[in-house]
Amino acid sequence: MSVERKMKTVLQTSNLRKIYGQDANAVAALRGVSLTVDAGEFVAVVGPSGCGKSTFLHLCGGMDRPTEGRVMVGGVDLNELDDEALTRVRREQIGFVFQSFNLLPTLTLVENIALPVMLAGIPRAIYRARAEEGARQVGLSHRLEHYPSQVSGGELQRAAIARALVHQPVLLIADEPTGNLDSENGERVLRLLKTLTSGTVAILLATHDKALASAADRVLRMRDGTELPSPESVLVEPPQLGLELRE
Amino acid sequence: MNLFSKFIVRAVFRDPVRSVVTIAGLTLGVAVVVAIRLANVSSVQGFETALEVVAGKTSLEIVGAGVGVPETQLAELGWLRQYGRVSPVIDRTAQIETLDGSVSLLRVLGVDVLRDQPFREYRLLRFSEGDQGSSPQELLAALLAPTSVVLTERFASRHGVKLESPVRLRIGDTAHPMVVRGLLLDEGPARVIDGHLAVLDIATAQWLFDRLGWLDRVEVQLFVPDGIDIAEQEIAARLPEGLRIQRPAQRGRQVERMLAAFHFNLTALSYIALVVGLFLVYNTVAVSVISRRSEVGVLRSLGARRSLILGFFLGEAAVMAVLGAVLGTPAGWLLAQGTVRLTSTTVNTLYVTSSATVPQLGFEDWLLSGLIAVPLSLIAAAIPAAEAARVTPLAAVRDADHQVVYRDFPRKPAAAASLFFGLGAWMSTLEAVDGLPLFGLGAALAVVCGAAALVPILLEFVRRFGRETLTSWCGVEGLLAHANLSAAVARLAVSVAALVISLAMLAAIAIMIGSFRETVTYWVGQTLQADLFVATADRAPVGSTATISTAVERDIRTHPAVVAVDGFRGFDLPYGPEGDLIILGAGDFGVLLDYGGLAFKVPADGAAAMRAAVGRDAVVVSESFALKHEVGVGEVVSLDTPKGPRQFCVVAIYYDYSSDRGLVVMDRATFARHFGRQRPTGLTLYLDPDANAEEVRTELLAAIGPDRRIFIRTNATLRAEVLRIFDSTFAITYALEAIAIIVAILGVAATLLTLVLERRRELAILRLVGAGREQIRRMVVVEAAMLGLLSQGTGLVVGLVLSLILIYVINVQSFGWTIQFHLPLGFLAQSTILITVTAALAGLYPARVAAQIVGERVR
Amino acid sequence: MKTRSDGVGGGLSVSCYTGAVFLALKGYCWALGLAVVSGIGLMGAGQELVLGTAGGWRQAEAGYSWEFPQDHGSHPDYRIEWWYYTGNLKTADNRRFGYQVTFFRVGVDPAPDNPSRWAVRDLFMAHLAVTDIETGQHLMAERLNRGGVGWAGAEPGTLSVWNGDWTAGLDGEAHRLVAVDQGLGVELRLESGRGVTLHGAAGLSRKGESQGNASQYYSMTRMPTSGRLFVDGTWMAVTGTSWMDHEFGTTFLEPAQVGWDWFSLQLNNGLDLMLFQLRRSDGSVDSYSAGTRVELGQSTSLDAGEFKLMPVRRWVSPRSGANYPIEWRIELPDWRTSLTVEAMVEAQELYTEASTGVTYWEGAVAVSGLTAGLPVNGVGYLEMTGYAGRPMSEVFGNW
Repeated sequence: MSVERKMKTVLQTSNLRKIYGQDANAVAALRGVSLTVDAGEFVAVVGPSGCGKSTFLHLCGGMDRPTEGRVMVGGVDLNELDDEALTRVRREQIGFVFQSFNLLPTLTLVENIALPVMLAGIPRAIYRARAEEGARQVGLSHRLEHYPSQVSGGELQRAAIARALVHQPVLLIADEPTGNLDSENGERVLRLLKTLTSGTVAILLATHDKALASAADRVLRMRDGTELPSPESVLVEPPQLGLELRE
Repeated sequence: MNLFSKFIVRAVFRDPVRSVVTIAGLTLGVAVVVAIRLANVSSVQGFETALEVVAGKTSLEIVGAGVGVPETQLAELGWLRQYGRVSPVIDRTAQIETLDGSVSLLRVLGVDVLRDQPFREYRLLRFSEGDQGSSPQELLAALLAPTSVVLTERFASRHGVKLESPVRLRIGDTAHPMVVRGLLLDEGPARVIDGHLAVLDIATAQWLFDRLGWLDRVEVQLFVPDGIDIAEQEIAARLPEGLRIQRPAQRGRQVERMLAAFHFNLTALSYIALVVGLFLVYNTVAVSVISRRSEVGVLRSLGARRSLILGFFLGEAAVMAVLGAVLGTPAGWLLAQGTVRLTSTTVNTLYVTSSATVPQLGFEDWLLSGLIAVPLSLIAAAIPAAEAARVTPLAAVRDADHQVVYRDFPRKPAAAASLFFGLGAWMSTLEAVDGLPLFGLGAALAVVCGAAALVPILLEFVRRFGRETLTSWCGVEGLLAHANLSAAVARLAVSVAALVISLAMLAAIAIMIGSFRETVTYWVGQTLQADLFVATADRAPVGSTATISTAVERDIRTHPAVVAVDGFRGFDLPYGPEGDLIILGAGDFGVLLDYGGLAFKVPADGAAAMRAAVGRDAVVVSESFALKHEVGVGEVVSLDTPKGPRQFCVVAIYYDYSSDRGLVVMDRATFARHFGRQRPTGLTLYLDPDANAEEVRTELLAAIGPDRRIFIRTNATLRAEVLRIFDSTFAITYALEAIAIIVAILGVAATLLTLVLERRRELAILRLVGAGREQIRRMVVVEAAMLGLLSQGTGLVVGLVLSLILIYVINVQSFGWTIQFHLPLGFLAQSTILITVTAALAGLYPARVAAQIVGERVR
Repeated sequence: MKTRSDGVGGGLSVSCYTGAVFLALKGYCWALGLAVVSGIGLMGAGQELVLGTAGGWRQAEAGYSWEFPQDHGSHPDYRIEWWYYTGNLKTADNRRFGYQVTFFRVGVDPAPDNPSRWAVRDLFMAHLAVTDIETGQHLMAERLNRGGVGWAGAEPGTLSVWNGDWTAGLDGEAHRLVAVDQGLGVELRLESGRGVTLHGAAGLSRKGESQGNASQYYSMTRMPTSGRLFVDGTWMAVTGTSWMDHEFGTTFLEPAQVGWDWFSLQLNNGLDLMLFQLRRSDGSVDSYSAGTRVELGQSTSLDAGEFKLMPVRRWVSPRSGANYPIEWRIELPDWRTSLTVEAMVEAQELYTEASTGVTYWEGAVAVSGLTAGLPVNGVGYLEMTGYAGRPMSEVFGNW
């Protein structure tokens, strides 16, 4: 790790807490997680279901606001942003990939891929070209005008990756991106993630998949809403339904 | 039914906005139907109540041809006394000025109280202990002086009138100073028409109403009321020529017939809002079925029978229908109050004078609303409910949501649309049934159904070919809007169809009214040639018999600038086997031909034919008369005259839009020969070309003096007045339409909201990938506006077709008018913009809801 | 009432409109027409004030020259006029009946402004009553119509009076009476019999102190009558004797004259007797009470001092509560005549709630007694007014 890269911190969270509900019903999903991710770094977040992985990722992606603590993306404190500014941060600096692909069924693949740049108001000719280029990179050039219902799960996730990267974000947040895929497609997705982001985009990836986790530069282990200081088994904890229902 | 309450009733609460909108739509629909029904009932009932009250215990009445019963014929009717008591009556309306400065319309009865007491109960208010009751003699004493009038206690207390108070009765062009010589107790006749009754001695009534020598009718109260059928026949056989016997209710039936076409069309219009409401029901149940497929699947897999599922969704519709009926009925009553004000203007202007009040709601009103709303809602819900019943248990395990299936070209709707349009075309060629345009409305309904079937096809076209356009117009929001709509074609079709139908009706009515207005404007230009028009009332109903006094006519004729005067006398005359009330008019053909103008339909040289009619038993008839009674030029019409039925040759048919009852006009000399000399009810004046009409008018009014109630209009103001009356006549039509559109737009908003709620996940994704709230909001608004625009576009086209049916079928069959087709482009353009904007505004709430959705839900 | 006093103050015969004056002209007129006339009197007064014209009716004055049959006809110049027929009839099997047919004309406005034929110049009333002596049944019917449109009227110059289909007319010298209503009726021919008798001074019958309070009055006192009578649903042939009165005038009595007892008697010795007494509010008999004795070929006027009318037996009407003397003793000392007059049927009260609201007694009577020491008997008619309802002074006081 070079000094330069260390200097370029993409994501920094400090003592991040998230409590759902109030008073007696209050449930702590995150109990103080601090993490720093530099540009180009690949961090895997692992832990049992309900350990707070998804909540952590949502806070990092500016999809939700923490109860306590801070999230800095590209040096900007997300807490200080209003809704519109936060939207802009997501649109310009962050890409998302989900377990269930989350493509819009009413748009073709190329339209889905282009969505972030379209929403950013970039002229049609440009976004079209960038979307096609993105599609090409994930091997979907032959599927541009297909609707999500007409292609396979692997293709959907590849399209989702293309969409997550089409606006050249600095941070890619991926929540169980291979969870709905067979191992072959899962590997292909992982490969794509690594090649397409190599060196420039930081990846924050939550997964159960040890193979996937092992590909990361760093692993953040979580249980009960807190990070575990050292590597240990993550599979023995019973799921905590109360937390999972939040999602 | 516990399961029902869990499954359906809770669902109603779970999606409160949609439920509320649907119920509101149904409520409005029911309300409009109820309102129009009540308004119609009240306008006839107002007349009939007055009729009944005024008729009292009268069993039969003898009426004359048009001008009434000549009193000299009473001597020949002495034999009537063997059947019962006989009372002659003058029955009129007049305005009364009271000391409080108000002017009210009164029913005025001129009777011989010595004869009349057994017919109607009059009881005078006692002013002191010593007063006798109300013997005929006392009433006579109160009434004898030609300045005496008896009013009602109710009216008097409202206007601060006391015994011996001076009042003025406005009759014709004269305001007669009168003295109140008695007050009728607040009961019986005095009460029912809200106290708007005045009693005069028959001699006074004859004098004031310019009826010397004439009676409006002679009433007979049979000694043996049960023998009415025989008595009626026997009397009919013995009556001299020119007199007819009828039951008092006959006049009510005549009025009912006269108003039938007008009321029928109003009723038909009123159902549009209900139809739109039913579309909402269909839509709601359909959405409910779609969004709960998997729940239904689970129920089915747990052993629920198909009938239970059907019952659930029909039950949902029934719950909403009952709520709609329960809320809509009183709402309709309230609405009727306003409607009556709107329609009674028309009824009073064009048909009869009636003091309409909205009847109180009775049990049968509620029942009727329920009987209309519930079955129709069930039918509307049956289609989606049946679909729900077909859901297999498999649906529970298969995640059918979020799957967008694009179907092939919708063939079934296309077939249905062509079928409906064919049916409409065929029905538009059929004749009227009993004067009512049943098939015409059937044709309109078929076109409406065809249009509804057309909507999914249109949406499919938009889905296939609209994305580029919309994207280039509205950017990414346009693209997204189009994508969203494309995915929901099946579901949107119903709401859009409802909107299309309302908009089509609006367009049709706008085109019809616009054409009609244009036609009337042209007709007014051709027909209203005279420079000044003299009338006795501001807005006299057609056929009004308030006459212009000799003094006034003399003042007018002697003005140097007046070149020619045409006196017009018009009155109602029963015609044909059904006794339809037509208007018989008499004018000076010579003056009319020399100075005025009629627009003749046939023959081409109507003026020559008309000139030839002078001195003969010949008439010209209005187009509506010719159409309604199927009379052509050269044929003969038989009119009741005081000397019995007489034949008159029809020499020409002219265009007339002043009344749909039909006019028969003869030269004044011909008229006088058959009906006796009668004072004119209106004068048209032709001035020296150099004279200034406005100045002459002022001079004439000055010459006549302020005591006379005379209205002189210049040509220009009369034309404006005609159009003003025209517009107010159609105000109700627009009001009804506006309501239908409100219901329909509510439907669109509800559908959009449903779509938004169903798409929460997609919206969340959008937010996630960087869509701002504003963009989401804009997207939903674009969707709404697009639907509005699409509906309006379709509505315009369908409306054009409907307007042709309205103009060339329904209008001709109901009213017998030729209307020249004319497109009110300005109105249509304005309404297009308005509808699109309104639809977009209706999208604001769903848009707001959509914008609230955040990314958190995405996984 | 205010208008009236104003009218009286105004002088010009407004008072002549007040009902009190002319109502007392004769009881039956008063009884039948009270409300009408009172109302109209009021009306007239009001109208007069409004219009400022005089009443326009002619006063009954001395010097009227009679001519018959022309004077059987109407005298429209005078305000009040009636034709009054009463009589006693019997069938071949001796079933006895009394009957009364009366036609009234009451002027309202001698020249109405309103050109309508319905404008009321005169009101016409008519009254039909039949008493079935055997059964004690008393039937009545009445008519009230305005003139002008032919529903009722009276022609001048000859006897032709009608009200609806009730008529009185001439058939040669004989009078013909037709009046049929529901349940009762008469169709009679009345021979002129004894002919015309003028009452008072050559027909001028004074009723009160002031000049003009009088009427022109004649009778045909004994008219042989035949014809048929309808009662109990059948027509019966009848014969008998009738009495006819015809009286006309404009203003009559003073307000204090509150009631009236009137007798028309036909005795078997050939004497016919007409007597009336006006009862004053203080209970005394008015000095303008009068009568006429008619014998074959001559008649004699009687003034108030020449006869005495004394109630003997009374009958209280169960309906009105009025206490009528239905048996009288009549004394004419100068003529050595003493008669008992007894109602043939007690209940011959006319209860005219629906029309006039005034109740009176009018009916057939039997006469017996002595004249110049010789026994006589006969039949006749008696009318008594002012016994029922409010005292007249109160009725008039309300004006």
